Formats: sequence, C-alpha cells, structure tokens
Amino acid sequence: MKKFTINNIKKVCLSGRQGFCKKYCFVFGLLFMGMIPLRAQDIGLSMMNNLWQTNTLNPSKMTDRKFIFSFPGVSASMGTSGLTYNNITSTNAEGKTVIVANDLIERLNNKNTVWANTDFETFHVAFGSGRWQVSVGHAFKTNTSFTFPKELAQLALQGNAQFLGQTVNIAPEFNTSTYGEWSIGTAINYDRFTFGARLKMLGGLSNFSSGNAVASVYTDDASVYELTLASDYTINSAGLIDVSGLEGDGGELEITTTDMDFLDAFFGQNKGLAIDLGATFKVNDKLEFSGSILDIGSINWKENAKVYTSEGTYEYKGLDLLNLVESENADFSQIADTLSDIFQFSKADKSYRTALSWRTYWTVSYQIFEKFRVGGLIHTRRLKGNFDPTVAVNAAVDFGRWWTLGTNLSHGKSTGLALGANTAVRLGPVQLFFATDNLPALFNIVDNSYAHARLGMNLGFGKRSE
Amino acid sequence: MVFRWLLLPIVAMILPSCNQLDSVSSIDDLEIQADYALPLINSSTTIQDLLEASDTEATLISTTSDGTLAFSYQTDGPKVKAEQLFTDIPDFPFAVPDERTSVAVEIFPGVKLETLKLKGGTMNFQIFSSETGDIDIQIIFSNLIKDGQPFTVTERLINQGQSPQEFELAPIDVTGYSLNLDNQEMTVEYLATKVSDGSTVTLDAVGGWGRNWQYDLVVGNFATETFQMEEDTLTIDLFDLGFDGELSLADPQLNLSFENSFGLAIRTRITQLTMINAEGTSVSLSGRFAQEGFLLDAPELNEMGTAKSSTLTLNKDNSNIVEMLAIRPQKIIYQLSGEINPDNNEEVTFIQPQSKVNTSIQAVIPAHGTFKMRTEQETEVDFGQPDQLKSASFKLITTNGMPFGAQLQFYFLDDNGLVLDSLFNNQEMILTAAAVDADGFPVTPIPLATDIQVPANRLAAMNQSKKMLMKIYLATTNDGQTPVKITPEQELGVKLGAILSIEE
Repeated sequence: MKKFTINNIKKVCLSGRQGFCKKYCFVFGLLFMGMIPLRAQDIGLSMMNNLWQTNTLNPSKMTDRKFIFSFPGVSASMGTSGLTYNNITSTNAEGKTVIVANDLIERLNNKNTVWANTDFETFHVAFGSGRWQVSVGHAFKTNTSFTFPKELAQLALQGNAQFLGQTVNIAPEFNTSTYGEWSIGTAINYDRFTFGARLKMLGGLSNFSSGNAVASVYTDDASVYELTLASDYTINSAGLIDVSGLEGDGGELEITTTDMDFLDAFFGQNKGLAIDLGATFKVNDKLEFSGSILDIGSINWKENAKVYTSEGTYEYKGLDLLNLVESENADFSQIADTLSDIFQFSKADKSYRTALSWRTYWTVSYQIFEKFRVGGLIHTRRLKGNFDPTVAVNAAVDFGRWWTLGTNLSHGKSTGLALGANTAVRLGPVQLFFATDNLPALFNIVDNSYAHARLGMNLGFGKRSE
Repeated sequence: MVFRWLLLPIVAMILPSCNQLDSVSSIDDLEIQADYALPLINSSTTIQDLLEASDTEATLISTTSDGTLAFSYQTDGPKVKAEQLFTDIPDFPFAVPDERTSVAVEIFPGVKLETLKLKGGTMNFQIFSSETGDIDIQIIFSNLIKDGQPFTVTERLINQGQSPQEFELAPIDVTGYSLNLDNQEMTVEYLATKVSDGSTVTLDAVGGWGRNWQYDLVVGNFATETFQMEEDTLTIDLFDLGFDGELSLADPQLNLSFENSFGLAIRTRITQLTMINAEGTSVSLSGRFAQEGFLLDAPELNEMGTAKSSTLTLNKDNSNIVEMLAIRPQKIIYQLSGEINPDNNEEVTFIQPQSKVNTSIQAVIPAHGTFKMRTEQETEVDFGQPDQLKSASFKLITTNGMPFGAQLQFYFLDDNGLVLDSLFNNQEMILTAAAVDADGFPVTPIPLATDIQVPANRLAAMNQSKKMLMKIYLATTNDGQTPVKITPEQELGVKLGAILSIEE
C-alpha cells in the first residue's frame, strides 16, 4: 500500500514553525517558569524622602541619619508590553483555558518586550555628617529582557502565507544577566546643590544574551513559495550557564547551570565596572529637582564564555523530485530538517562584553504643606534594543514623624498606566518600607501586565544637622 | 512582633495575586489557525536521469549523430556448433583384395572429401594366410600422410602351425595424419614375403577398420543441407507501463548478428519472428528476408580459425517492423534456420571441430515518432489522519523541455470503487509539450502553472478513500500528430509549493 505522507506535510509546518523560532522562543518559557528573578523600575521609591534606598536610585540623595545600616531587601518587578493573562487567554467550547493565537497577535505591538528584574540588596552601610556622606554596599542583581518583533509571533503562529513577497525580520533580542555588585559611594553638598557618585565593581555570575540580531525570512510569491532565510545572529553565554543543542549536534536545545562557590557568588569571575551619577538642586525649602544616571558600565564575560553565531543567507527551494521518487518512503519531513539545519550555530570560545541597561531618573518635588508634598518623575531605561520611558506624578503625606504614606500614577511605554503606593514606618532606629509601582497587580495580577514590589528595613542612628 | 503586624497587611494584599498565579499555569492549549507556504519540490530532471532511476532492462544508447535517445534490448541467441552438423566419423572397414587396391572413402554423407586431418583414431588390421611359414608384410596407405611419409605398417607374421591362419595386428594410431583423396579414393598396397626365402606371396585376405577417427579439419565440397536453430525470446519492458493508445516509431531496427567460423556458405532464414504484447496480440515479420534469407560471411580456406561477422538489419524499409512495434510488444519470439551450400555449387569449403555460428538479437527503438497514450493505475492508499490539516492549496509549475505533454487526474475511491472525489474537476494538463523544429527537436521549454485546490471536503474524501485511481494521458507535440525526437538531455523542471492551512 502506498502511504502518502500528508501527515508529514503537517509535520513540516509544525516543525518548520519550530525551525523558525525553536532557537528563540524557548526564552518565553524561561520567563514564565518563575525562575527568572524580578527587578524594579522603582517609580515610587525614587520619590520617597528620608529613605536610604532612594540613594540607590540617585547617589546624591542623603538621609536625615548619620549612620544607616540596611538589612537585606528585595526589589522585584516584571512586565510585558501590555499583555495580561486575562487578555491573552479565553475559555473555549470545551471549557479549557486556551491562548488563541490570533487574539494574542492582535494585541501585540510591533516590538514586544517581556522583562523582569531583581535587586537583592545584601547590605548597605552609610555614614554621613554635615555636608558629606559615604556608603558601602553589596547587591545581587538580575536583569532579564526579551524583545521580539510581532512578525516572529505571526510567522510562528499564523504562518508565512500572509507574508508572501515580503521580507520579515523575526530576530528576537534578549538578555539575562546575574551579577554581584560591590559599591562605594559618596555625596557632597554645596550650597543648594548636592552631587553624588558611586563606583560599582561588578562580578558577573551568568549571562545569556543575544548580540547581533538579524534573522529574516522572505517567501517568494512569484514562484512556489521558495524561502530565503538570512541571519546575522549571535548568542552569548557565560558563567554558570551552559547551552547545548545550538550547534546542530542532534540534541535538544538545553540550558543548564552549574554550581558555584560562596565566594564566587560574591565576587564573580567576570569583572566589570559601572558608575552611578546624581545631582540634586534645592531651589528653595519647598522645591527640589534631582537627576541621576545609573548603571553606566559593562561586564567582560570571560569565564566559560561562548559565542554562538549563525550568519549567512540561505535559500530553500524544495526537495529533489528524483530523490523523493527513489526513496522508498517519500517523506516531506526532510523539509523540516533542512529548515532547522539552516539556523544552526557555530560555537566559539571567546570573551565578550555586555553593557548594563542604563537608567535615568529625573524628579521634581514640591512641599505644598508641611506634611504633604507632590512630585513628578521622568524615568528612562534601555531595555535590550529599546528605549523605555516612564512619566509619573506622586503625592505623599506624613502622619507624624513615624509614618509616611504615598501614591504615584505612572505611564510607561512598557508598563502602561499604573497606580502605585508606598509607605515607610520609623520605629525608633528601625525603618521599614514597602513600595509598589502597580498596586492593582498585587490584588489582581491576571489583569495587569506589570507587577512590582520592594521591601526593606534599615537601622538609622544619629540625627543629622540641617 | 511589631514587624509581623506590619507585614500582615502587605501579605494580605499580595495573597490574592499569589492564588491567581495558579491559574496562569493552568493554560491548557494554544489554538492556532495558520497558513504555511512552503516549497516542497524543486527539481530539474533530464530524461536520462529519469530513465536511470527507472528499472528498465534496456541499455540506454544514443543512436544517431543527432543524439536521439534509443532504447536497446539485446540478448545472445542460439548457437550452432560443428558437432551438431557433423558428428564423429563412424568406424569404417576396408579390404585390400590385391597387392594394390583403390578403396572408396565416404566418411560424411554428401561431402566430397578432399582432405581430412585427423586428431585421433586408429587403424586396425586383420590378415588371413594359408602359408605355412613365417611371413614379413608391409602395408602402405599412400594417401594417408604424416610429415611427408605415407602411413606404413611393417609386421612379421609368425606361423603357429595352423593353415590357414588369422593374424590381428595391434591398433596403430593415426593421430596427425592427413587423408588426401583423389576422387574420394585412397590407394592401399601391401607386400608379403616369406621369411624363409624372401619370395613374394599373395595372402588370402588383408583388411581392417578405421576406428574412433576424429577430425581436425574437413575440406571438401559440402552438399546442400538445412538445419534448424533453437527458438529464442527477447524481452522488452519499454511498454510495460500499461499505456494504451497510438504509437508510431519512426525508425526502429531489429539487428540479427552472426559470427561464423564455419568455412561454409550458410544462408540463414528467419523461420519465425513474432512480436507479442501484454494482451496476447501478435504481429509476425513479413518482407523479403523472411523468404530470401541472408547469406553469412564465412572465412576462406586461408582464414581457418577466424570468424566472420554478419548483421541482418530489419528496418522500416525492408520489413514491417514499424507495424510490429506499434502493438507495444513485451517480447519478440524468433527462430532461425540455416542452409549449407544453398546454391549447391562445387566450391571447396571446410569445417573444423571448433567451427560454430553465434547469433545475437538487438532491438533498437529510437525515441523518434509520435504517440498519444493513456494509462490508468489503481493503488491502495492511506492518507493518514491529518486532523490539523484543514485545507491545502498547491501550486505546480512545470517547465517542459520535452516534446510531449501530460494530463493528469486522480480519483479517490472507497472500498467498493465508488468515486468519492477527484483532485481536479476535469483531467488537468500539467505538462505542455514543447514545440519542435523541422527535425523533431524541441525549440523552447514551455512553462505551465497549475493550481491545485484541496479544500476541506476534498481532504475529508481523501481521508475516507481506500484506493486511488490515477489517469495519465501523454501525447507528443500537437496531440500526437507531429513526429518528435527525444534526447537524453531534454529537461523537465518541476516546482511544487503548497499553502497548508493548519488548525490545532
């Protein structure tokens, strides 16, 4: 009996889809597996007063205490470009929760970013007197972002028939870095100006990122849908991360991590430097402007560093008829293998450098009443391949000397409109605080595309003179 | 304790979201409606590539200087050996009644023997004498010569006291002797003398036998004689594809080749040459060769040990071979006969033990002519269960450099042969025959694009089908009206792409 392999044609489509995005889409999975730590924009924190952690966002910020010890604290955030769980899922006729690909794609922007950051601040010690302040601290930081063009999802989930005669770029950009940060900072007040700077010595623990990111697909509509695939794409991995399956060795794509020693975790094997700069200008007792640029620097990844490269232009025109006729089992799944092979990578053991995602905070604060102040903020950050600004306004009320309650309303390119809240409590030398940039997400995360929380505790001693 | 109380409202706020995270992991499926456009086949194939991929028994050759493709089928035919025509020499007696006698020799019936070279055999003698004493005898065969000397027997006959007495001599080897005859007679003489006084005596009888003679060469005049060769068959698989229709080959040939090492004039005749097709229809050879036969070349006397080649070619001018091949035969059955010295002339010729006639037959079928043929092939199929494949649209682009076109249709049948659906609404042209020049060669490849839609209902029919009936119609340029030539280099370009609609 002659067995026709239309099933295999189907497999071609499905495998072809895998061929297009197999190498890239796995990052999606990583992001939703919960293993990716979070990191903050810290919109609300940047506008809080007399809290040591504001210094991490602007090194010129001083507190009203001479000595501060900051206990371990966490700042975490994650978000997507407007996608929420509820607006990408629906319930089908069978009562199952499903993602309808067409609905998902309808909600995508031309470029879409999924990001997650975490700062785990191990400790901070600050001492200040008069017009100056010095500080030392350590933190573990993880930055993760994944940006993909809408065409990638369209190609994978809706097929390439909609792109006949067009070249579509499907290259995603991604970066996930974990590093330790030792910092030493200082701030000096001069009249109405306060300047601050912080030097940060970085020890990279792991990195998995894209470098060059060009990968395009052209489907010829004049003939029989011949495919032209072009790539100039690099993937970097270093430190604790090992990647296998990228080189076409027949194995499945797999990312593994290795153990690390305690000291290695604190000092890292991949060295880097970064600086934070900040300034505050107090116009009068009520009005204050400040600005900062953070994370200007890079890490040179040397330990277990590998660069995977896929470069070239490939045309796929179909199988040879004679080979198909001569083979006993005509199997179109060869097409899938061929397409998959085209995007194979070559590996090189070599070091590479990644820049930190720099951020800026520009704030203004106005003390309307003794216990009530308002402010504004422009925040920018560079996610991989994207400039991501946020604007915000805030208000804060002091209830006595021990409790402050604030709120902020922000709108960011990647976060959308968000209502945040923050609070700080001082009980003697102990200062506790909590901040979130998107309060509704704490109650209803499935309808929010952005979540953030920051929690910490400080010990402060000695009131500084005005 | 204070810290715990402060943390409580925060935990209370976050708790609902944590519970919601469970639902994030409860996504059951991803529903996709996608249309994938893929190139499936892109191939440029020559006729030669296609034929090499096939399992035809034909030896592919380019016949003429213009490079026209030809299919050649060849096989060795029956052989005729000397031993089949001229058996071993029978034992023969001879008698020498007088001291000198001429003995008539007829070793092979109908052969006027002039020379017989021997490679084996003996002479056996029997003598009767009434003499009472011992006798010396010398017998001389003056026509049986070796190294210039006649065959001579010298023997002393010892009387045993009997009278008359019989003497039988030991056999004497004649290997290497040549018997050279005049008028098919040999001369034998004997001389008998008494040992006692040397006087000549006449014996009662002198005779004997030639036994187990084996010839190395027979020279003489051979009488007319016919012989039959075995029937043989040449198989042709060129037309096994089951096509039915009209076929006209412009210049086919059937070559009968002979290699003859007999020194004889032999005329062969085709006593039977019939082509038979799969349906049992047959057409037999007619034409002058069937009656007149064909005189084989033969080595001359001074060319002994060599062989001469002769070829009888049957073509459209001397036979009905075009008519015979038009039935698309599967086999050619043929039988030959031979006639020695067909004109019964007096020429002196020869045979040797190793003399033979080898035959071979070769059918050369050039791809030159016209055809329009159809075929139907039914096969069991299993299209599987492509649940996710909802419909498909194929685009077929052919670029045909060959001077014949093709129409195609597929029918999908159930177990009972009922047609569930067909691939096309009507039989679809998928190859357009290239136009040809005055010599029959294609001028320019002809492109043709064909869209093949397989909507959901047709896909369902394919899934239900158990059998598929394929109908193909092939015709040379101008629907089989124009003679064309096919060369091995002519190309067929096939591109097939598909848009496959997937839902899952």
